[in-house]
Amino acid sequence: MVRLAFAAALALTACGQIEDDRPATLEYVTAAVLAPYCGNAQCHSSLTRAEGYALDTVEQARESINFFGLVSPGEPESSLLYLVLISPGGDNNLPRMPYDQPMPDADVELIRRWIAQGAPGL
Amino acid sequence: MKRIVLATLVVIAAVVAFPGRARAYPQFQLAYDQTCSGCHVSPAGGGLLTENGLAVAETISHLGTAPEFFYGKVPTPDWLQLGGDLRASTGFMATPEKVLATFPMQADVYAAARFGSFTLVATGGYKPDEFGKGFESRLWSREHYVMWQQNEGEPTGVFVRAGRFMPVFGLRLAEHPAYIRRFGGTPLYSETYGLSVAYVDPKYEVHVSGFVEDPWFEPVEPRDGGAAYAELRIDEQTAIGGELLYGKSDFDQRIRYGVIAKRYVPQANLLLQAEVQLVNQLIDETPTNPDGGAPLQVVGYLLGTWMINDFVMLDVGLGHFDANVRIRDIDRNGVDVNLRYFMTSHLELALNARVETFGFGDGGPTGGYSLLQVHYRL
Repeated sequence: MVRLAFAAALALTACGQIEDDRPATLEYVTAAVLAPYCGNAQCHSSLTRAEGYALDTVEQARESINFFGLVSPGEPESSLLYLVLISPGGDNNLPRMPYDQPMPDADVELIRRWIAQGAPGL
Repeated sequence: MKRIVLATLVVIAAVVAFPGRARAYPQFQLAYDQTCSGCHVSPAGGGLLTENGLAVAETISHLGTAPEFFYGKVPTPDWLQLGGDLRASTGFMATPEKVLATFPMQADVYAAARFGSFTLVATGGYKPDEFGKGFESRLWSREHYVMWQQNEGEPTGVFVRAGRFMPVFGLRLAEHPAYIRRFGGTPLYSETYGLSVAYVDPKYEVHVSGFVEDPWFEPVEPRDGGAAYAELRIDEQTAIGGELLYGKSDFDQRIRYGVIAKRYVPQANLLLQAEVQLVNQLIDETPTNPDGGAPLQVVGYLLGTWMINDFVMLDVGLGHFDANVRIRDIDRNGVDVNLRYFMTSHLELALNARVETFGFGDGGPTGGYSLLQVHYRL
């Protein structure tokens, strides 16, 4: 009964959704995607800085992306930030990120769109 | 918005209305005592155990053993309590990168010194090292605070804490990956400096906290704000609560508000807990982000805990996180299974497993993990 109720609740929240019209800006991408999925405590947070960079605040993300050249504005296929999100992983490939949880396709696409549009805000 | 409110009410009503009658709650907060402070030094739970908490640790363990610090072989004066937690995990993760992983989770020692109505509490231990820095970046103190309590040594009454600790908010589950923690305002390492006032009674408790961004360590939750949490125990088997948290960072504001419910079903020795949170995230408008952004998020968790016997406990959790309810197929839905075996009063073995999908399979790769966790309490 409880599970049915929970499923019903989830279904209700899913009603009326629209296609992705979120702003493709560094500020939005950081707040909505990079910080919660990449910038968690044990990874690319300002606290830990895995691989040297932090993605948990707009300022840190801007600094890290620029310093490490993670993004080539206008060229998502040449941007490490995007490539690690679509890599098949495994040997001889870039590691697939995030390593501790999957990321929804729509968020990967938002990052691709942001880079393709010139990475505004960077 | 109406749908979300309705959905919230459906979940809470289902938990509260689940049939059952009991004389007591089954597990940690509610089985052996009505409050966190019945077993823990902190009124918010976690960390050092009280004398009653030590007795419970012994009661629920398979092989017993003396529950005191180092089995009581290191005597401490009455005013001083020592303890600690060591945790490590190993297993398989698919996110979807498939990896075998072994990693330390926690290595903290605790001390509490009580002087009348005042208690000084401090932890020290391991944190993940900061890239490019030496060993010293692996050490820190997650919590250190001074606490005043109205009723000296008692689990009830007014508690005032000042220092570094986690703002009191939500179901304070030990499992930090649980959606309601990770996406619900209390992720791993989000302790910060603040002031908290609590009133704890077996029938109800209220916690109000104010906090500021950590000025020394780079904060995991880089926000200033406040939190309020209240829980009312309607009878011996039912509790409901409400919560509110506001936090402001350099680039956004988040307003979290939600409800919780707990219900014990004695026939099945089952505790149901649910929390549903709505989150208004307001992303700052800037010259390069002129439209700002205001995604409405939903975080929910329904946890069933079955006490199979005194020393084996099974959790099944259903998690839901929608980072923006307007956008299709970014909702994350997961099933957690945690099987715990309390071997001794100090040693716990746990199997932690998760499967999670987006948009119920339409929104991205399915991921998960299966980990064996070893937890040793000093």
